[in-house]
Amino acid sequence: MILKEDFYSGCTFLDNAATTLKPKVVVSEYIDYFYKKPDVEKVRDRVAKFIGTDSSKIKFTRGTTNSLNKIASFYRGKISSVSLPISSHHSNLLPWQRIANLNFVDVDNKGELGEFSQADLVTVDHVSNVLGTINPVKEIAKKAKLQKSIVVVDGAQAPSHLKVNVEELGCDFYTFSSHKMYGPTGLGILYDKNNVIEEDYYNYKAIASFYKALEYLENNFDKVKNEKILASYLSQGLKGLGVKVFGGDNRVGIFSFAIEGVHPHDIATFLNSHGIAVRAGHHCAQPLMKFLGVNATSRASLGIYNDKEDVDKFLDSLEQCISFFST
Amino acid sequence: MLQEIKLCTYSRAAIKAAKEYLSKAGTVRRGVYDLSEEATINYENAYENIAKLMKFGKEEIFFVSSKREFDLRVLDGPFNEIPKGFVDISSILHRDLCFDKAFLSGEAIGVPGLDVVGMKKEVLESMDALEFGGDMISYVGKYNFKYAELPHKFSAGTPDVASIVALGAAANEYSVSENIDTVSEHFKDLLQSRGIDFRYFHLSNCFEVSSKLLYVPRDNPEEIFEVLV
Repeated sequence: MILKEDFYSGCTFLDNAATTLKPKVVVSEYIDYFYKKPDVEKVRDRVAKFIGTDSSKIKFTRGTTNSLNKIASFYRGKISSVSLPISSHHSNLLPWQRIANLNFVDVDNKGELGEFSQADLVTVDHVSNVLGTINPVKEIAKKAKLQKSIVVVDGAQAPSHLKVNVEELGCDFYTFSSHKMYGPTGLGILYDKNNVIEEDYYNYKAIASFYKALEYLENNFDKVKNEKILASYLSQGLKGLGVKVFGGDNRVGIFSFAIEGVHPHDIATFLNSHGIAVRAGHHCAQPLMKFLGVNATSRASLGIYNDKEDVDKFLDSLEQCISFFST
Repeated sequence: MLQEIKLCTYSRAAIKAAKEYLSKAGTVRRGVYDLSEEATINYENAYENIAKLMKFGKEEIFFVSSKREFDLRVLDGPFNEIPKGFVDISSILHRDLCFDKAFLSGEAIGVPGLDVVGMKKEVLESMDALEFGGDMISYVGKYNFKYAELPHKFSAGTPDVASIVALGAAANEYSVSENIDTVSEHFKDLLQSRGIDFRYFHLSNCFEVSSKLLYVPRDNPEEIFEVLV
């Protein structure tokens, strides 16, 4: 397994929606540039190309949360209403709570969003970090633009799972984080169509090593495409175990699930004892948890290095977990 | 004069800590698995080491990514006089006498790209956070939220764990080193003759060789870093 050898590993890592492992080439580049300034514009060009746009529209930030806060600060006093999904991550909810009246869009039991109401600004997560749903951003943006709304996309979960083209999506802003796509912590990317947000960032070691992460991801994009097959296999396996999976089939490899009578943290702890890393909690989406009628879920999420063997190990351990807690 | 000096302190401990974290990944605070727990312990220790160096409590510091942001949004007064890239050791050491806030530049102790602000707990408790989202809350409803306890209140989004653990290691190295008062007069004079305020430099690791000023990490003398003036 060439891919697995590219990473320092010690467990079956299925918490990729929180943060991914970093390839060795990324770590060594980070160290190489600890005290050096890289060619920042070269990195900006590569990022722009990766998401189908022009480098003049790319800003570096500290992360997705930082980007969204910058956008909200810019529109403070300029807008009065925001329409957003109930599934929004806290980072794409709290900044808007402070500056506007909010209209929420519900999700159905397949994880699909309802209609967005008219608002000065429409924001949506490209991929839900809890449900894994791929939201129809292009259609949402098209409708919002007919009503002259500003369109902001939280892309944190998307670029490591999908090919993203921001110009085709038709949004005004699109943001994501390096550390969820095999890059270092402390770096975010912001596509800013109309060039309104100021860049004030100088974490050069992160910028330099993110170039290597992008290169790595692009060189292995066939694995990203294959994730759909692995995700389908995982989905079938979960259904076979009688586990409740939140969301529908229009998804990337992110699965929030519940086992009746077993606390999500107990599931994660059990799996950890089998060398498997999954997440348990509210996933920074408390309003969605309430909407789903739960306090927390367990979540398994796939990355570029995961394979059928990992999924089999996970399903096998989960079966033992169910059996352990039912006796 | 001071602003024009290009200076960076080298910290091998910082590099080692960043490498170790990035090699294993694992997010802090939210995970229920070994990698995440290990990352969380290292992250918490880093907070403690940095706070200790700044002579503040663990709950009294927060991280910012640039001096600019710090200038614009947090502080005013004498701290604006501190040039970017330097730690004003005197302001930290004399904090209790003069100031109730301090600024630590990561670059000055070996971690470029991350800076730290220290402020009294009572002030931070009464202040609004600078950013919103992620784990800086204890409760989130559709239309309102409640802040988490300090220091999480000022830590929106996934923290830059790699830089923070690196800064923690550098701060620890700094804390155990000699006090500024015991620094040899020779290097003090040397630095001053080159227009560097000695207060901003970790003098015990400085050497002059062939008219170059070198910084030598004491745990690995082979990794020498040249001070550019």
